[in-house]
Amino acid sequence: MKRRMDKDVRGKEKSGKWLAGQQIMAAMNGLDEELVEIRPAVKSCGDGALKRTAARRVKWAVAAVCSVCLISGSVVFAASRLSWHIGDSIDPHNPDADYYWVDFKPDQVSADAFGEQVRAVEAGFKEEAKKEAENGTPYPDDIPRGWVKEFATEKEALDYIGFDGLRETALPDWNAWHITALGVYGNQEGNLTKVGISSHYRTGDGEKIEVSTEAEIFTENWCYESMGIGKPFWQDEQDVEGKEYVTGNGKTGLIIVPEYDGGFNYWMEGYMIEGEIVYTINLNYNSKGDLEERGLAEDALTKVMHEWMEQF
Amino acid sequence: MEDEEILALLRSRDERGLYELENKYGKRLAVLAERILPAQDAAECVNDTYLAVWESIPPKCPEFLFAYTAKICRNLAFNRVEWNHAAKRSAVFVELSDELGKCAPDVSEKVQQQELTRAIADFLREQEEEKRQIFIRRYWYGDSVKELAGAFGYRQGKIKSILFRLRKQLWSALKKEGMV
Repeated sequence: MKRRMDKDVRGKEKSGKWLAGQQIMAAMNGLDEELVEIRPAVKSCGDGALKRTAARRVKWAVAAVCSVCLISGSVVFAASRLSWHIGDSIDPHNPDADYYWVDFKPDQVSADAFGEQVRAVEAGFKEEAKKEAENGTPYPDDIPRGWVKEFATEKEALDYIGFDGLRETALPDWNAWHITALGVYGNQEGNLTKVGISSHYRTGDGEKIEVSTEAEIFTENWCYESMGIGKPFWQDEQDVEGKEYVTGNGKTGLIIVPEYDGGFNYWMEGYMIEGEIVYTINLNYNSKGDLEERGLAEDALTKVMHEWMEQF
Repeated sequence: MEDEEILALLRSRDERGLYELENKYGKRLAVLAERILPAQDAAECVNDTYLAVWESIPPKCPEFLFAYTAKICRNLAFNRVEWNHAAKRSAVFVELSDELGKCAPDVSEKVQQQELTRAIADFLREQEEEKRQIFIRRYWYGDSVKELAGAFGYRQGKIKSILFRLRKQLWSALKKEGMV
């Protein structure tokens, strides 16, 4: 290693100090992940339950602040079971990145509410947990067990899940362009924690709009303090804004839209909660990035978003 | 998507896990690689990182997904530095090497890299959490002093002062072990 580094710096008149620095930099590659991980250690969130990461603790600390005030122009829809906020300096790895968080408050359900086939997956989780206990090799308690199955259509996935009230949200003029995936998650003991499906479509003139939808159902075994999703964005490139949308039926949805001077892809996200189910839609418009087309994209995505929300 | 869900996807061999990994950490990995390599090499390095993650999970099940991925990325980047020699190093990499070298004027040629790694790890474990983070973020992730000042709420002078003291302490620790 040293000789190779010597060769590297030959002719560059680099000092021995520089070389020593490079050796130390290289040696640091071997440091354990727990030493280079910025987040502090995990903390238990309940008896026999999943653990929350410190990053999530920070997230909820910020969320608590946001419940009584505004941060970076964020808005909180206090009366809704959906809220959003921007947290700055929340990412210890990259202070330039800001996050917008969408927090859900759906009702949590009993695992018994799912159909036989999902329960069979849970039974498989429990069987795994039993064997792991017998072998003395327990599954990590901070990582959910995962099981994924693909379906040709959203309807097939819904039939498989067998949960009353869970419905297809694709609009008639959307064309499926990717498989529908079902994810079933469990905890260390093998108990069912979450079931979710995601589907992908294309629509619009020239099918320029890509649509991804998700539906998530959280069980009583989900022990994180709350549910939600956080996504990074960079304020030097764009900003985001959350808007409330009330449907003709009086239901309130949340729409997250970007605000920026330029850019290539215009996108928009929508969230609705119906009983125990969190429905999410992500819309992307593949444009050339010119302002004229961006205006068209905004109108087109808004139209699709409103049509999607009006079905609730 | 949470790390736990990304890991679950990867463990079930679902390629969406890689997509979500890129979605969540791609930019950070690119920044890390570009602090060591020129942009073109850095982009290839990040792609190689995703491949390595895909090939290693499972069987591995890392506790810290970003640190695990970043470590692969940093290692791959350093391998490229060695292959590509001086012309293929980034300015940040040279700056950090120079700065860090000030703590140890000359590391003995007899010192194996593993020994050096172990000594640095011991040194870091003895540090307070905040100081460890400042050191790691500067010399492992390559964050600038300005970024650190913003993240930790200190003036840049204080960050420089903390880093200076940490480098001196590292030098003392290495000297104690006969490595310098």
